[in-house]
Amino acid sequence: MNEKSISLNQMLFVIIQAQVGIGLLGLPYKAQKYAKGNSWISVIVAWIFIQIFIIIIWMLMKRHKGKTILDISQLFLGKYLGKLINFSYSLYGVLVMSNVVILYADLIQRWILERTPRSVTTFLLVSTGIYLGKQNLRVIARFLTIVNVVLLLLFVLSFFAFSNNLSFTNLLPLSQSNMKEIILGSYQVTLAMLGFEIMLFIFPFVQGNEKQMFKKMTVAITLVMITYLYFAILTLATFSPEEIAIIPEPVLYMLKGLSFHVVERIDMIFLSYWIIPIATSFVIYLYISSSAAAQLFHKGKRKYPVWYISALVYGISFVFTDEIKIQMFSDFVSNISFIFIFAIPLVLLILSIIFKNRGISHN
Amino acid sequence: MKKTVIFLILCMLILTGCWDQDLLKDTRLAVGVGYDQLENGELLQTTDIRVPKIDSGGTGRPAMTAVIMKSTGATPRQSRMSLEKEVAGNYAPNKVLVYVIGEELAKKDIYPIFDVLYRYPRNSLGAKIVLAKGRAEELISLKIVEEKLISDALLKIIESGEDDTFIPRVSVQSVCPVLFNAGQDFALPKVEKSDNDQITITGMALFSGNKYTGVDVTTEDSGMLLILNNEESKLTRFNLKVNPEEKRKTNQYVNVHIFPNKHDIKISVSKSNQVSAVVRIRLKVHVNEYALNNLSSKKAVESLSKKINEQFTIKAQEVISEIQKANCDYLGIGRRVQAYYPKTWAAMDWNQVYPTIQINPKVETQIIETGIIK
Repeated sequence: MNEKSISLNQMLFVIIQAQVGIGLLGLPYKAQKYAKGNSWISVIVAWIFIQIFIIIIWMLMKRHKGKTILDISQLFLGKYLGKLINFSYSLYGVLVMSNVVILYADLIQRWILERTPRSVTTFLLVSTGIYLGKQNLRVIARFLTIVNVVLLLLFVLSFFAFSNNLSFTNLLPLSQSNMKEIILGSYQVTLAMLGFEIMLFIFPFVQGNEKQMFKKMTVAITLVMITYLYFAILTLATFSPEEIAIIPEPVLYMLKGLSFHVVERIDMIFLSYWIIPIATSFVIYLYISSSAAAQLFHKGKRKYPVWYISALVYGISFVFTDEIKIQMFSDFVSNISFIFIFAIPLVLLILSIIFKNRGISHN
Repeated sequence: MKKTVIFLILCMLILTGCWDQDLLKDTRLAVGVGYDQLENGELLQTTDIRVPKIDSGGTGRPAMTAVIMKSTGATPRQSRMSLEKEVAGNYAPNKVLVYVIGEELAKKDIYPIFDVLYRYPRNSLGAKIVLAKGRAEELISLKIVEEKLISDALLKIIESGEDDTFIPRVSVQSVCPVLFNAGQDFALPKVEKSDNDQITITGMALFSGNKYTGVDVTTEDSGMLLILNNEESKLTRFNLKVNPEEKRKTNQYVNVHIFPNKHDIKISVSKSNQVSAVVRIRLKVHVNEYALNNLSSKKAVESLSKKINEQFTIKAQEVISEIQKANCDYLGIGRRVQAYYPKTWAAMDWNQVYPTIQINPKVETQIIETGIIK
């Protein structure tokens, strides 16, 4: 095994950091498109979906102790199809990373650094990502644990938003969107909460029994859900539903207008810190992508793939620069992600249940 | 070693961040902006630009002065562009303290003026908005008021008006949700240039939808309106005529300082889809000044309390009928109907219905302090 083990609490924070990222900033806007003022319900529905995904992943991983999804896929699908699956996971990682990088560069350019070329801001994120991503899992996990302090700080910053005029009647009536709209909204929320699939790759390295792990995984996604719910309700109360429809980053926007004696433009402070959770999402997908590539081409060593994958991502980020293209790319990545977080694990789980013996014989 | 050198060189190249630098010495900060409607349909922008005085030698803070510049254009951004041609330096609107809007301009939809403020990230969303009686140009052209530069003076006047609960706390940001909301209207502070070249707050300018109705609530009643909407500030004082039977005018009045401690708006819809609302407020009253001087018995206090209550109820009813006449849903009744009775809301045209609905104020008062004498 090339990776060192991590503790249960570190696993918890890795999942949180993987999930919380750029998606939160645009969350109420995207969910609101479908679910209107009820998008906070969509957050809760999304949490239920993710709980189901977590159960599938957990059941699959529990049946094959000491193996990652990369080993399991080859076990059931044979050498070639298995490798194809692993390669697609690597590619999926690249796409998600590119998406993160592109959205991040776009955000920075629109909000803070108007004249700085995107290639520079992108380079800063990618190079930081490589620096952390080439370390082993334990180092990454330790860093992600410390970084959670930032999330607390961001919570504190968000308290400033309470000095806006909040009208909680915006959350009502409950009938303003039907079940279908709420579920469409929760689909958008789920996309903002992606990242828990990291468990497919780090499960064997966590010290602890399966039950404890399941509990911690549930705690992680619940904490993320509460964070998202909090921001969704806060933004819905700050802006009227008609207004949110034209504000792509309501979380930042609600902080922008506030002015105090000592600080102004809290949105900029918030965004500067928010880069950290964005970077951690990048690192986690770099881990996913590079370990898949390492297993295929480098006998499990992640040293080289980290570099060329990052270079590839950097290259892709130059292709998508205008708003419409970015949106298309982002939607594409979001839509295919369900194959990797849901479809493949489910298929493998079914195969694992049908061909019981194979899993056990390898144990 | 080699790695470190490469790393350092890279740092030099990447981390200096020279693209987005905006040096203060190159910028001309706009601090107050006024917009007026011209007869040819264009906008007149009057800008108060803050610049250091040329002869402010010596140490310490350089003395500042206001330069008033005028420019025109079809849109706020175009008038800014034409202004940029004159300004010596980069025009920077990110520290604007106050936007002043002329009466004529406000009578049309005001969103087009604000669009650029919401769209461009560097604009100051925390800036105050006021409506000027007549033209904004006249107000800003005063240049110096009470030994203060115009925008600073204006800001101070607005802030103290807010603290005394004369006018609502309105900023570019806080207006935005209401601009988009069909179930609520807003009001802007209204100021005017007085004869001796001072600025006074005259009240709240009521808006219906995104347009100025032309109706104002004077500062005498605006406090009541703000309390009805739960917007009380640090200091809320009223002078009430409680003893009209007294001969001497001074004896007719009581001056009270109030502390609202309960606010509640209840909406009900009857079977025939008639909307009605009850606004319930509970006020704790401190008596500040009562020239009649007889508050030693419990009975006297109770009778005064009753009179105060009556006066407040009358005031509340008056101000409510005023905003209903102006079709300004300042209390956000529509928003509540929308939230609690979505079917009723969908079936009606709120703009038509609002002036006709019943809004009943229910005021409770309780004198809790009479100062350091009885």
